[in-house]
Amino acid sequence: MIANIKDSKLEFKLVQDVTASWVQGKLEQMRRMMKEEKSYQEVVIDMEDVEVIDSIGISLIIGLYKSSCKLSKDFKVVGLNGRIKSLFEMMRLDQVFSVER
Amino acid sequence: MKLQFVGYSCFDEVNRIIDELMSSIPQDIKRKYEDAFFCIVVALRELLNNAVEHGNKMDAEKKIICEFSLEGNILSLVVIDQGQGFHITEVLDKVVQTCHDRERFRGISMVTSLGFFIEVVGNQVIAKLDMTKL
Repeated sequence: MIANIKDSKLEFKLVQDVTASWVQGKLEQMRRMMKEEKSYQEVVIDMEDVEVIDSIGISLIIGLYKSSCKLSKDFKVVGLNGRIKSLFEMMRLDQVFSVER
Repeated sequence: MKLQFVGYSCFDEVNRIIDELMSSIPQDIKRKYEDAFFCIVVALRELLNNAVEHGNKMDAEKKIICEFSLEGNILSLVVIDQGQGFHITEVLDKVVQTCHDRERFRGISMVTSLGFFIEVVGNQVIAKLDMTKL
């Protein structure tokens, strides 16, 4: 995972499969960065390099979305491949936050 | 075709079992059902994660067993853990009672949303899919 602030956006670029074996401990780490950084208005999760996600990975994304709401920051997920985007839509997550290819 | 894999109860083993399964399936079958295999891997990962987390309670000394079979167009995934089993209706009821942004109780409902029929017998979860309906 690579974190970067640019143009008032805190971007988390996920560069590996977002599955249970990777996710453990990441939510707290990412939440801490969101709280410590002040100079951003939007959280962007870039999933361009993600080929596989599971429900525990989806829980991580939802956890980050909820943290963004608490911090009054905008939130979106970008770079989803077609299959993962369909999975998000199947679970109606596109009705919860912005989901882009 | 019938394949069986056994692993210790941890998430790294889930990855290993799925990698071994995918490399064991003949290329012509993977090509024939290319889109379906994305759903199959998603579903299998959920069942195995459930076995590790909820069935075996993250006890890495326990085992998980995965059986994959394809007979005609019917795909069957069987995942066995060393836990107490669960009631499928209770799990799905929790899903109905929660909203789309819930952080948990998503795995089994994902599998059913992908088109699988799930049956739970003791500590065995059996998920069946008619490949022609994907």
